[in-house]
Amino acid sequence: MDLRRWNDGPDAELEQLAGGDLDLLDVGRRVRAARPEPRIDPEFQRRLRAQLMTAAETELRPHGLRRLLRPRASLLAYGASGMGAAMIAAAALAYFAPHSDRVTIDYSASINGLPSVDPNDLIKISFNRVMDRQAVVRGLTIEPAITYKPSWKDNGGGETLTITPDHHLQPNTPYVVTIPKSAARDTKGDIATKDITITFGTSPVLPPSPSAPTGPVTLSPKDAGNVVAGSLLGFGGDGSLLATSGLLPAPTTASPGEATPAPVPALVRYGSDGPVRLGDPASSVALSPAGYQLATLTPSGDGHAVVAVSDADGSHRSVLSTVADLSSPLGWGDATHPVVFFTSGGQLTSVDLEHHTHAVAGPQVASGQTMEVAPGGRYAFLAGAPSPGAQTPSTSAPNPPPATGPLVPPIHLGSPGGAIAPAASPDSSTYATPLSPPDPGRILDLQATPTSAAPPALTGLAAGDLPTFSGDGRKVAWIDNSAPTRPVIDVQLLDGSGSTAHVGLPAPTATDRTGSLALDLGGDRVAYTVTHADGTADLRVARVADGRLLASGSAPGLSSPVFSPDGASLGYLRGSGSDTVAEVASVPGAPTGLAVPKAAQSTIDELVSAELKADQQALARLVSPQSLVDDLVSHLPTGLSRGYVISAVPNAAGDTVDAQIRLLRDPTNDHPTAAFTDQKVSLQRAGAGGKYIVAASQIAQPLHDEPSGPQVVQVDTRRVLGVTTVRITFDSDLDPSSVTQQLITLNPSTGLAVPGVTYDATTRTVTVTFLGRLRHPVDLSIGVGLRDVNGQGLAAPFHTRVSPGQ
Amino acid sequence: MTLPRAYEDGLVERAKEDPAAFGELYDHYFGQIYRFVYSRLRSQEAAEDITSEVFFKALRAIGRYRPSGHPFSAWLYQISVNAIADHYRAKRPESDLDSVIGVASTERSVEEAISERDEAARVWTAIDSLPVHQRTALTLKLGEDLKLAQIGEIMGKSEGAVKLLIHRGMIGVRQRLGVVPHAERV
Repeated sequence: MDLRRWNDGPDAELEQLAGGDLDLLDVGRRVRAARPEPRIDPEFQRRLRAQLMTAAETELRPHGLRRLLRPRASLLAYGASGMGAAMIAAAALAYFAPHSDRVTIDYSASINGLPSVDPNDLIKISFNRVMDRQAVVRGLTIEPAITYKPSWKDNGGGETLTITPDHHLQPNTPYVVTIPKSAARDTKGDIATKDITITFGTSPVLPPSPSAPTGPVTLSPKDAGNVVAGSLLGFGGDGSLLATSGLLPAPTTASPGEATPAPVPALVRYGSDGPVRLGDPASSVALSPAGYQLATLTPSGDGHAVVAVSDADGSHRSVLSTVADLSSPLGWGDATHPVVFFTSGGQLTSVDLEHHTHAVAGPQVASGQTMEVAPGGRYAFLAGAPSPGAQTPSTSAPNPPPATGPLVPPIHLGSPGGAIAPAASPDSSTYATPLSPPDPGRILDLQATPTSAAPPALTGLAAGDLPTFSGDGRKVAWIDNSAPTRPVIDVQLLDGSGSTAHVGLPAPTATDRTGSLALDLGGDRVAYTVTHADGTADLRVARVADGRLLASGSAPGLSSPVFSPDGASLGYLRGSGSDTVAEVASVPGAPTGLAVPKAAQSTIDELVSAELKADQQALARLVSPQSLVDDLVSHLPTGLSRGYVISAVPNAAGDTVDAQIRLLRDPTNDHPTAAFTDQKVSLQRAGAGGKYIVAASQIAQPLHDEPSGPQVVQVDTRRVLGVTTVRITFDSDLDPSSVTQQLITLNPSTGLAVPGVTYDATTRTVTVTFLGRLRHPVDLSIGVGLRDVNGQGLAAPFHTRVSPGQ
Repeated sequence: MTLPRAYEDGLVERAKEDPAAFGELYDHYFGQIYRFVYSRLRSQEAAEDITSEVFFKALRAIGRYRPSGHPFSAWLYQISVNAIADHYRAKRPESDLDSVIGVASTERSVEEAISERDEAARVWTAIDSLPVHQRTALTLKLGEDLKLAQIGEIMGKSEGAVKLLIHRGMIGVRQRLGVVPHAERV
């Protein structure tokens, strides 16, 4: 089959050549339609091939051999007749031997022509012959590009090729598999009579893989670097891991023969550019609400600690206090009035970035007593007194009213989502219950009013245990040892509303110890460890809503889990002593991007469905006014196979949503290229019912062929802690080496550092992270240097508009 | 159909020393080249001769082939274009190629030249009457669906020059088909 595009579809070059002259365009189409289809004599084709192969035996030998074998001119006269006979014989051999006459290479593929196969399906192509496997696989192409593993199996009369994608097929995507006829050859050299083309589409939603385990995924961590045992971990606003005591190689000052100097502890950021020293080792670090600044608590050596603030990269460090307590909590106020909180002499104190300090009314924290401040500053946990006789916090005012001060009223205690604080005390659930139970501690409402609901009681919290807060400061989790059969993890809203969620823990053995709790930003997932007697530990991630285990891993000394602000990654420690390593692993269940109102999403989905069915009645219900319905119908291509929403962006108030939709006609064996057009729609909330209608629609072009190379299938903008990330999902597996910062341009220039760019092969997603506050909308462009695994670049630069967070 | 670029590059490299690889290139491109040659010569016998010549020339020259960023087929088309031109020169050695075609076209109207009243024949008779470069460019664009850049590579001309040739060719075909430009109808 000739796969040249014998189509009457739009041809940008032809239209350009016609220069807007419709007659000329018509002439072009008539010429195309009149293309001759000459009959090719197969005998001539074979004969010519045989002659060429004979000649090739002498023409194509390696250079050295060719020179040696080439007859000298003086010999030609004598050798000509004999050589002629030899050539005929060789031609006959070439004709009959490698091409056993009248053999047909046939194939079948059950997937061929199906519009909606499971994205987890494998692609199987059965041949009626034993194939030249290398030639077939070398010539095989799949569009959109995927990486895959081929395998072969005898099928009785021939062989079946099974193509197993490395990262499943992209949902809701048309695929074309081609094998050029010249590569579709059997082991005897016979080739297919035409190119093999298999077309199919995938279903819109990625269903659970039947072959994949139904249980949790296994954590697949990457080492960030060695750290000091007991180092605390956290994430920067750009998603890079932070360690309060990472280990960096010492400067190489040793002369040859001397021992290599020991690594040096430091506050370290592990970004895409490797570990970077941010400063001296810290006791605690807290990330500002916007994610751009770090507060650090560093022992000063005189019995106190230093509180300092720097940019997230460690630069512009400014000391705010030199008299903080060594065991001080550390937290930020809210984003509108950034202040840092710490204790000095047991007194909770705030300091703003202009160094104005203010004593905060509240409980006095005794030496050795632990206080943790929840992100947002409304709540705090105060542990019980460390020992009898020690100073205890004031019991007369467990929920003191906020104090006012001249400089920073009202007071908000804050340790925002990215704050690094000591993890819930490790390995505590098997603590023996003392004869006289000590006070385990309680939650304090630091802004309580007479009508405030009481914060939750931490039922069953063991003394010495610490609860953990969600990154948004709205939930608390703790290990509840009061359950009748086994401990559970309780998760409760801090304002006391709602019921307590219980996450079951595995049945404990006498020596198992459960601890190291962490909640994600929204408190929807909890991570915890179960340490066994032999030192190995299980790290588990569970969904709070139903307790379902999402991920787990097992290794010696797993501890101190912490979620990244976007919830996609989990940092934790592995090992012990000098072999302690910080690791990062992807975790499932991360929240989606900017929330599109459900009613708006529903309208978009119904619109796409109605367009695919050309259902004018449904369109009339979804689109208004009627003139817009008529216009949409007049521009709507026919024969659509599928559509998907590339992006949907609500405005600040959520009353309008702009969406970009791609409409496609699937490829067929006769026209093995998908045709598409893009549609932009604006939705408006109509009336008080919350329903959205399509108030604007634009389909700029008729259907036209998708160019080769990767296509964007989804753009998703997220903002977490003020940091904007743009996730761009492609239909193709990309060449990771082509995903670089140099591809990104911003217009107008934001003046920010070049955005960080990462690629996740599993989801085919490029993530662009802005490393500073986005103050005005920018157009983000990705250049054509981005390539798929077949080496095909983007057909045109990709542009998307990114708005600053609300 | 164009082979995957990386695959084709490897195949061409191997074809410089490996007959089987050259055979694979032949298997892949034979039909394409034959059709192009036929569309220019309109004779099965001549098309077979020229196609043979193209592939033998390719076989002898492939050792010197260097990838130019265009598909390997562009090189084969280039050889084909030259071979077709040689073919015409051999037939009418005393005449300028363009004038041969031009004279031929002026001796009879399009309508007179077409005994079959068939659209394809009319169109191709009109194309045959174009000057050779216009005809080649037009055939490569509308017959083979090649990109302007590839046609430029094949014909040794700039993309702009190719555009001009095709544009003029289309106007020539329009005239020969007797289509009155829309502007003149108004």
